[in-house]
Amino acid sequence: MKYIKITLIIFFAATLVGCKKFLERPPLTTMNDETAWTTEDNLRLYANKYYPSFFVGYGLGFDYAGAPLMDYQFNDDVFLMGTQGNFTRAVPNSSIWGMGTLRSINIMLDRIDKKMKGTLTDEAFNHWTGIGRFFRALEYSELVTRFGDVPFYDYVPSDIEEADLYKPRTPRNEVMDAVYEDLTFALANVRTSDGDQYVNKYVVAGFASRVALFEGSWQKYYYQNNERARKFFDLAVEAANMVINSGKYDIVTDFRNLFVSNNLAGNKDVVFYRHYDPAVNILHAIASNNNLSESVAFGPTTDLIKSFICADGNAWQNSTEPNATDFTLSNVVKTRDSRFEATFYDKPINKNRASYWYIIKFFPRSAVATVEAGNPPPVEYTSSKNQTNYPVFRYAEALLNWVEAKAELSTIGGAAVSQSDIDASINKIRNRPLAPEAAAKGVKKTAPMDINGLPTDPTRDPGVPALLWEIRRERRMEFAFEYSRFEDLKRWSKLGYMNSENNRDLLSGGWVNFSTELPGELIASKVNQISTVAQNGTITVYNGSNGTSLKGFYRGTNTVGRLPFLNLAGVNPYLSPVGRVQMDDYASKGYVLTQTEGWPQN
Amino acid sequence: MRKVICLSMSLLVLLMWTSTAKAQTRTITGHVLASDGTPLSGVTVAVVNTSRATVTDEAGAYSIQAIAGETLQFTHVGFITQSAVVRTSNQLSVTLASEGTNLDEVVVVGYGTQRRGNLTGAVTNVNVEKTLGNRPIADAGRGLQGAVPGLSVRIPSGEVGSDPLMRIRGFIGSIQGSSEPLILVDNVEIPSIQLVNPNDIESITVLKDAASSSSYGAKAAFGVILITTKKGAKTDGATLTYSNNLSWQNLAKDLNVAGIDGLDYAWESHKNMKGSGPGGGFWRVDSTSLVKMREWQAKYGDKIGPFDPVVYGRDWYFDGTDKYGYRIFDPIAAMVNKNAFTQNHNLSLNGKSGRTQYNASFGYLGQNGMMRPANHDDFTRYTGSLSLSTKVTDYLTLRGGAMYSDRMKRYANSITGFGADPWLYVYRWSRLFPTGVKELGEEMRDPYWDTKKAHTAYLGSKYTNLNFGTTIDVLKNWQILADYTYDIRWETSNTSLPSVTSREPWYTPVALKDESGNRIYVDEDGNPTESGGKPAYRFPLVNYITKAQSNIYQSTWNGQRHTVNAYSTYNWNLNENNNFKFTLGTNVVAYKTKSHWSRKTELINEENPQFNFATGTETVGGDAYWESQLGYFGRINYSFADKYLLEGNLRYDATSKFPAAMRWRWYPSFSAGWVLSNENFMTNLKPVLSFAKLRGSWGSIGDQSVSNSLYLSTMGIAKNSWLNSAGNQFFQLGTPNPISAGITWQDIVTLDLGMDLRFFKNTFGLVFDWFERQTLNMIIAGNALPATFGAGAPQGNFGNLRTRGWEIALDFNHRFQSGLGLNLTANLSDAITDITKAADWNIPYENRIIDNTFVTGKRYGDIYGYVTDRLFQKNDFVYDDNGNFVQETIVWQGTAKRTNKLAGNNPVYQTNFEDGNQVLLISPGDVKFVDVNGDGYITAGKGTYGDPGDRVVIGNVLPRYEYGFRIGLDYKNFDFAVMGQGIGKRAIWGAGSLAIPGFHAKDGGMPQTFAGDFWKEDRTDAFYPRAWNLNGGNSGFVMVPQTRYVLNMAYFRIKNIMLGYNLPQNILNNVHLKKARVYVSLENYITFDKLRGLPIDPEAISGVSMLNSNYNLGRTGTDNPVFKIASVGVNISL
Repeated sequence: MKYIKITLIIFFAATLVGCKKFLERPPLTTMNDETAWTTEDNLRLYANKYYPSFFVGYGLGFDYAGAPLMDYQFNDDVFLMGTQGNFTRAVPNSSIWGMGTLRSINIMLDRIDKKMKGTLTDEAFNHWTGIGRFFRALEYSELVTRFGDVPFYDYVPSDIEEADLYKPRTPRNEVMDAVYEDLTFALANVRTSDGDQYVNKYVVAGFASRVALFEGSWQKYYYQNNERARKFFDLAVEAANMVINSGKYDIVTDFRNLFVSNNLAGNKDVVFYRHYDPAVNILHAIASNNNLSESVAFGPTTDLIKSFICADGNAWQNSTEPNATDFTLSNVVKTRDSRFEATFYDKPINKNRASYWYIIKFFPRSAVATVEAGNPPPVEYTSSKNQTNYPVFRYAEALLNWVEAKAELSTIGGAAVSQSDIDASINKIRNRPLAPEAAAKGVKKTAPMDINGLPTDPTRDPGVPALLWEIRRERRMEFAFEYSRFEDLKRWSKLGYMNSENNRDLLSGGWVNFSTELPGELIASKVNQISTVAQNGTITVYNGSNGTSLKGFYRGTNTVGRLPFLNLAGVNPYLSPVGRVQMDDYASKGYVLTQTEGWPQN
Repeated sequence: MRKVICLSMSLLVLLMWTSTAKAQTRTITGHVLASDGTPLSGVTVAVVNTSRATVTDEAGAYSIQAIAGETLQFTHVGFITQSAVVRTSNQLSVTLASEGTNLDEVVVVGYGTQRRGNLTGAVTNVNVEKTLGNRPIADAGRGLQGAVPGLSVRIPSGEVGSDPLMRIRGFIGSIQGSSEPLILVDNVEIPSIQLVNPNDIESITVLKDAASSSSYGAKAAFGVILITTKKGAKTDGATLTYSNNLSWQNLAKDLNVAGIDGLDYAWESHKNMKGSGPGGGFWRVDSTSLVKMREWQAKYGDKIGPFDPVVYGRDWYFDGTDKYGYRIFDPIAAMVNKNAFTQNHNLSLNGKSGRTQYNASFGYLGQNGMMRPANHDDFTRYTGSLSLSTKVTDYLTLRGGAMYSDRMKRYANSITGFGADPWLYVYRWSRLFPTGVKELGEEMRDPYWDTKKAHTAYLGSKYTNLNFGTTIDVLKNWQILADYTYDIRWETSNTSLPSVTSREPWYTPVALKDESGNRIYVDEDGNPTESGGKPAYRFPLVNYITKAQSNIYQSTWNGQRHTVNAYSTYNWNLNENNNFKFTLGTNVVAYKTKSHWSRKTELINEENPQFNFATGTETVGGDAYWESQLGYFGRINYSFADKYLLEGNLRYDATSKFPAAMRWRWYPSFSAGWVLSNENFMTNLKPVLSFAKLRGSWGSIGDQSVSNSLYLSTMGIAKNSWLNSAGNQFFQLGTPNPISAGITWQDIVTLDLGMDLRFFKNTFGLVFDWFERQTLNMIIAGNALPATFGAGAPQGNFGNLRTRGWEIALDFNHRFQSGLGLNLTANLSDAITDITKAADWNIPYENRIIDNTFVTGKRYGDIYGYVTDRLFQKNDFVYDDNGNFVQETIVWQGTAKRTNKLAGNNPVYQTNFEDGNQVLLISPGDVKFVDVNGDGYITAGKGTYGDPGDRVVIGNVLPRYEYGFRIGLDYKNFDFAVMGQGIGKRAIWGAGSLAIPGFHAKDGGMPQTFAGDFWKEDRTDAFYPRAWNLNGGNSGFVMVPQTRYVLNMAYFRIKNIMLGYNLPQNILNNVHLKKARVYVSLENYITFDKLRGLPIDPEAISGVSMLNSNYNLGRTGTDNPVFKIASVGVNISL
């Protein structure tokens, strides 16, 4: 029976490996919530993921969401070929706030507080808490801007606390008070420097001025609550002051170069920027959409064109610049604020199929020369191969936020804006260096603004004081085709400016004298397609033989205006409705999701 | 290379030429007959334990030398091997029973074998020779399609080197687990059935119910495909076999892509959508250019070939802003191979010498793919196997073996990545895009030249399996078997991307100038003119893959597995009628993997891409993984007089995938059988009912095919797209995912009831099974939480699935007096899966959302959609005196929309599909839906069961009524077989331009099926609605899921037609061959489907490919086209 014993030993030896250790095989290559919160380095890694989503810059690849030029075409600056974009005019089937990022941030703040007190120094603890609260403030201010009242969580809600998850919308003011607290904390605790391309105190301050200015204006114009408005305008001024008083920033770069540089590191005009690099294939496609080669179906409205101040500091109607009322592009380039020349190509071309005036704000002058010589644009300005950096927060914005908040405060009991305030902000920007190419074309710096000699603009909205009107104009010129115009109209309660029934300048583009500037367009297939609007509003449609009288602001005959959106029952263009599906879901669980203010509750 | 292999194989055949052994004893003669009395030729007659053997002649006669007491063994393909002892007589004739009907045949089951007649579980044993033999297929999985009831095999594309998708009994077993069957080769798991050379396979058994598969434990939850390999001969002697197969592949289906009609669609959709300016995308279309296209066809259609250069002025025109094309190119001709060649060679030596059995084989497969411009599109596989077993002593047998497989797939690396590879681009744009042509001698950027210029990518896979084992016969009826297997798999991927500069038809053209820089003018034939003409343009030269982007990439992955199987069986025959069999064993598996990849950019030598010839950025990454399982199992079989059969299994299982507290689980299973025909009261029925058995089984298995991180809030580390000023990417740590406390095993419980019946002396057989498989505690996402939670609901054991189905298999064998043999097998099966519990189980039925994947009470895979009535026609609307639509304001659920007024009393409005901005307006040619709920509007309601609006179930994405059959005929030396396979019912709402009318109408790329049959004013009887551009959406406006446009994926396919000829014995004897066969075989030649001519294969599954997880953006039918194969081959044994 010896062999039986041997075989039994073999048989059971094989089974003996089944000790507990043999089965202990957890994941080898991921961290988890139990193991990750041990070092400041890990915390930094955790916060790193918010950068590309909060500071979109030019986006990534062909993803234009949140990127200038492409994702900000719904406002009174942009004229679309054909039908103009419409406001939401009916409650959608499905729409709701996304709180994924918020959950992520709240987890970060919770773990710092609960798991890292012993690991971090007080300074680091406060810094990272400040970073988390800064992102939370940005997130909530975005949600509030879109929906008004939103449920507020400054903790991680549990998946089993149903009543908490389905709680009613928190009043906007309550949410924004929390945002105020978060921002104040972040301003006080975030490091003044935390390494290359990391958020620091000045980045926080810049964005805080943006958020606070929005909320201050909203309180003043939408809620008409001056007390709350003052609180936020004060914060805007305070935050912008931090940036200004740091002495780290200045206005020293010509306008176009702010948008076409391959590396903005160290640029004094830039508080924070997004960097791109072909070596790691982190590239974008925004420059490709204004590369003089790509034909585009959006361009400037006549309204935007008319709003540019003349180089002498006056509105075009009463400017002393020679031929200021002549809208021929070559003339406008010379007579208007230098930002005009930096934003638009200097000849009408048919590559802009909406306006014939082509935007080149994000395309470098050297590449313009390449295309003008008959070549395709350099490959790094085509497709999704663009590597230009985007200044996600510019010093100029801090200056404009600052002066606007001060001007607003002066209307609700604050100190008056002084000439030195204007000199430190608007006039500093107007003194920005000119690009040599622009100077060669005869472009000049715009005359400084004089607080006692503000331009008389016959088209000024009578509801807006002259100083604020000029500050808003300055903003419009500075930020054309970037993020702010629609947001600005909202906070000023001026979405009415987008009503194309009242303002025909929204339905035409650049001034074109077809027979001299674009004779190639006067062909048979364009008969009844092209029309021009003269300054007196007369429309001339091309009939095949009236080419010489086709002179005016271009308007395609198929242009369709924006459908009505103001003063409609059950439509509030200022805030987004939530979807029926979501309201039904709340109801099916026995809770109530109130519809956004101004939308039908049914 | 291939020639060398052919040659060396032939040489080998010659070298191995051996003469038969001589004997010096009595001459035994006799005949071998089939059970119906017909003589059997080619039967091997061998004297056991000697090298003496012969084969029967055409009359079934044989003659062999033997001495009294020796045993003769008669073996023949398709028949049960039989032995007879030589006594005094010199005459010895036998009758062989055909294999398919024999109940005494031994079938391989989990850890052991079982007499077929005594099986109690749902087990199908595959006739390997008939099912796989000589077919031009790359792997056994493809051969099993349609052969086993309840085993579903799907081959979604013609990608060579790809695995078939296999499922046993229903497509969905669980959502977290794999639902895939466990594939075991000699009791060791293999990751892909492609690793095994079909020629090395001895037997295939498919275990379908829990009672049969439970001894394999928690990995066998969704059935087992049990493959055993050839181990050596049963009788002394050696047989050398060489077989080959040479085949030619062609498109299985005409890929009819629209030409001018597709552009007409683009233009119509532009007009219908009130677009301004010209229509189309990169290439513009308007009424003028459509006229020019037709003129081009008339003028040049038969003069200019598909690959002639593109010429400005003649083929296209640029007006300074927009490009217009006139010429229709042929991307299919440019991209698809004709007569792709494939060859397969196999050499094997099989034999026995004394106490030692051996089998050695070598196989080569060289298969070409369908991509014409690819420098290499092929798949090569070398397989080798060796198996040796020797009886060391009477009680100790030792065995060892090795299996090796080396696979290499070569294909053109996609310049754009496989998220959108050249196959997608064949269909993506209209045929105005120059494809496969040059301009002024220079190449263009198109799928053809992109592929031509792409470097070859290599996907290699090497698999080595070393095994050693022993069988100890402790007592006559007590056996211990132990086997240890070590296997290692290496996967490598090598790709490189050159910098590419081509003429870009996407971008704005540039002026065409002569050498001295003067503008060239051309006439309307595109010829340069001396005077007059139009200024010419050409496509710009663009460096679209820059030097900085060029790179070389390599990845390696290796997985090592140790498997120990040890078990012991004890047979206890209490008395003649009461037989017991006890099995006790253990199964231990340890598995780990490691991987690594690296990439370096900026190739300085693009002809020879090497890491040393790259000077740019270096990036690396890697991963590691491990897991282990441990299980103990026991089994008791009891049989009473082969009449009452009982089996019980118990397995105690543990896996490393769960934390210690929930790691171990018990899994029981039982089965029982009653052989009715062995009862005395059935004796009278014997002439009709030869055999009858009723079976039943129940079993429960745990499923551990889930991730090992289910119970952890993991936080992945990755690079993101934020850069520091030096261009270095930031790393980020992910947000921890929410997890639900107490997540645990999923349990698979199977109930099976079946019967096996045989009639008329076993010539006709029927097997029927009904089964129910429940997935209990299935891991799915919890009930949807409101958006305030900020994450998807954590997963937990919230679901139950129930799959019910039935399977039927028939076989019939008959040999006519004329000698014609007929063998028929057929099978049909069906399974439906219902979600018996989902996370919403405690929400009232009427509030459950029908569009969720998992809804309590929903049938898995149901598609909800509208019921199509017809297309609106002109007289459905009201017009004013000028012939314009009269408009009316329709208010529904508080939303007012102005729409075209419908004629008639109480018309049903469809404003729900409109945008309210006067662009989307229901008009003639749009789909008219049926007002199912009768509320006067067509809407989706709340999308709940209580208020589904007008939507109903319009189909199910899972295949139903799968069937297969084989008809085999043989006469004298000829044999002929036809195999067919099909699916009775399957529906999908597809994705992409081939499946959805108007998907990206702007581009004009679509099947002719849509383009030639959409509603226009002069084609009001069209099948498809008026042209509309969904701008890349798979549903929109009125092209939403609905009865009329859901794709019917049912099909019937003649999988294989084969004609073979066996050389007669007298010829064979003269050339000293045991067997020689030549055959021709057609694979996939005839398909019937209901896709109206769409270039989609009915087996297609959107987005499934070995190259990418959401291949070609998930668009239906845009992968490597399915091919048909014509082949010839020989099969020689000596």
